[in-house]
Amino acid sequence: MLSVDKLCVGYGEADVLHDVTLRVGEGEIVAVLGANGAGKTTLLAALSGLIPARAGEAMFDGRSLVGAAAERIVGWGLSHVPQGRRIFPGLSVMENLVVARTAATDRAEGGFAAAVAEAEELFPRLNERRDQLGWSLSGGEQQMLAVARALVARPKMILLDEPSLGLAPMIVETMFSTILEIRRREKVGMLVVEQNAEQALRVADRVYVMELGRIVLEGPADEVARDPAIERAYLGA
Amino acid sequence: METFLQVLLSGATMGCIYAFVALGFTLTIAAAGVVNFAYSEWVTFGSYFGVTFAVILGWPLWLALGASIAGCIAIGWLFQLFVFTPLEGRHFLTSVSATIGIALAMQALVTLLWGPYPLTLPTFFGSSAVQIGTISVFPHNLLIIALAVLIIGGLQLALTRTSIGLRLQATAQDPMAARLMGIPVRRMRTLAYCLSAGIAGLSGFLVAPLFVVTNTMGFGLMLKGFAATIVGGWGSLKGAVYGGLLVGLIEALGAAYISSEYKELIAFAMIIVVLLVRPRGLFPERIAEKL
Ligand SMILES: Nc1ncnc2c1ncn2[C@@H]1O[C@H](COP(=O)(O)OP(=O)(O)OP(=O)(O)O)[C@@H](O)[C@H]1O
Ligand SMILES: [Mg+2]
Repeated sequence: MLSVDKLCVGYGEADVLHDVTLRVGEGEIVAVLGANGAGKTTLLAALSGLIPARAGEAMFDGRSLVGAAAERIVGWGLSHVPQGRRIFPGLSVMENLVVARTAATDRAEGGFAAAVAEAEELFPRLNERRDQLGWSLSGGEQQMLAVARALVARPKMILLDEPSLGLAPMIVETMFSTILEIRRREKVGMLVVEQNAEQALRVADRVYVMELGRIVLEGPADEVARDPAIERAYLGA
Repeated sequence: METFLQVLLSGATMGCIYAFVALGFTLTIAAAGVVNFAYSEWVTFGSYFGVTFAVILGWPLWLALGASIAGCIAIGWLFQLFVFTPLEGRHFLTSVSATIGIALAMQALVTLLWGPYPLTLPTFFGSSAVQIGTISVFPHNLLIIALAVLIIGGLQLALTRTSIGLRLQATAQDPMAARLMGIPVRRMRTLAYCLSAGIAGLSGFLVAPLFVVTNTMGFGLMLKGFAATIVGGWGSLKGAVYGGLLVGLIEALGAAYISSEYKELIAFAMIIVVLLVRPRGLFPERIAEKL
């Protein structure tokens, strides 16, 4: 469904991603592990059209993502939950969901109301906080809202940038369980980039490891988890 | 008592004009981070468009009002094409200096197009006052206040209750996240520029009958509108409206009860006092605090 071939991306003088190749199948959860500055955020930003690719190809659902504008790509069924959640701080929880509505939301059965109901079923906290402004939510609630906002667009695939960032271990655990639940219910695929290898390896089907803008290792999650180098670098063993 | 009410009414009238100017000026700041110091000239052009359509061409006033607003919206659209979009993403001082330069050029253009002599624009209701109880009122002042209530109220509703208004707010708060939601950020900003320009046209047209129309009239209003945005809170739409009203009222009260010579000074003394007590204005943007 998503296939990335030899993608090169950079800012100004600096090249950040070098020949990144990866694949995410329909309904598959794929994790990209990497340390700070590895280029994880850059990869997702290039896929969702926020920054241009310099070379290579990225296809999603039969369309080329290279050169496409971010505001169109959502409409193709690829949602991006950015690093730092980027909730609209001056809008309420409900209003954050309203602005995330797309043509696909309305095409789906039940329209916007059904999309909100489903998101609130996954994250009951959001229902309690409906009228609270974005900036006043806790980090965990903001992350829930960020994922709910992506779901409202009825995506076929979600790009998730460090959903664990800055959250307490218990909340992280719940968040990743919800990610599995979303896949089970909505059959959406997910590309999750993470530094928290433990949680990412728990939910992912396949894993890529990224270092300094290159994919250095790939494989099924259980295999990668047993790799001694990975254990040392990411699992603190 | 009568004088007091009379003073309040004229203060509120000017307050509404300042509120319009401050609101239009703030809209582009809030929506796109564009500080548009050519806004004064947009207002001036609103007045001159009014004179052109109503006096020179002799169109009915309502039609002239609509055409003046449309003319200013066209200016706003040209600005987005040739000034704001090319400067997008630059430091805000770039847009400050660019728009100051353009403002000076536009001021000169006014003299070229309409000549150096002051012009006048009639009101909808003639120039005589009517008695309401014991105070005499110019109907034009009431029109200004009524339109301010209607338009500012309508804008508030549109921004907070319609999905396009919420999308405009989202664009203002986080353009990158807005793009990820599929919101056409460029078009939203253009909408904000055009709204801002429309308000300039309206204020120029409404304020013209209160004074004479000169090429510096927008500049004078802009000083007060700017004071209003500082008093109200930089970048806050609510602050612009209340700041404008406050500047208008205090200016009128000061002129009546302290000294009319120092009328101009009073607005600026007020800025200094407010900034000493509340450095971020009366209605600081709550969002900015969190970020
Ligand atoms: N806007 C930018 N301009 C220039 N360089 C950038 C920009 N954003 C990121 N970089 C550089 O690109 C490299 C990769 O950054 P990126 O944010 O993609 O890493 P990351 O893997 O997401 O890291 P983290 O885990 O800290 O979020 C870094 O060296 C960073 O300095
Ligand atoms: Mg990152």
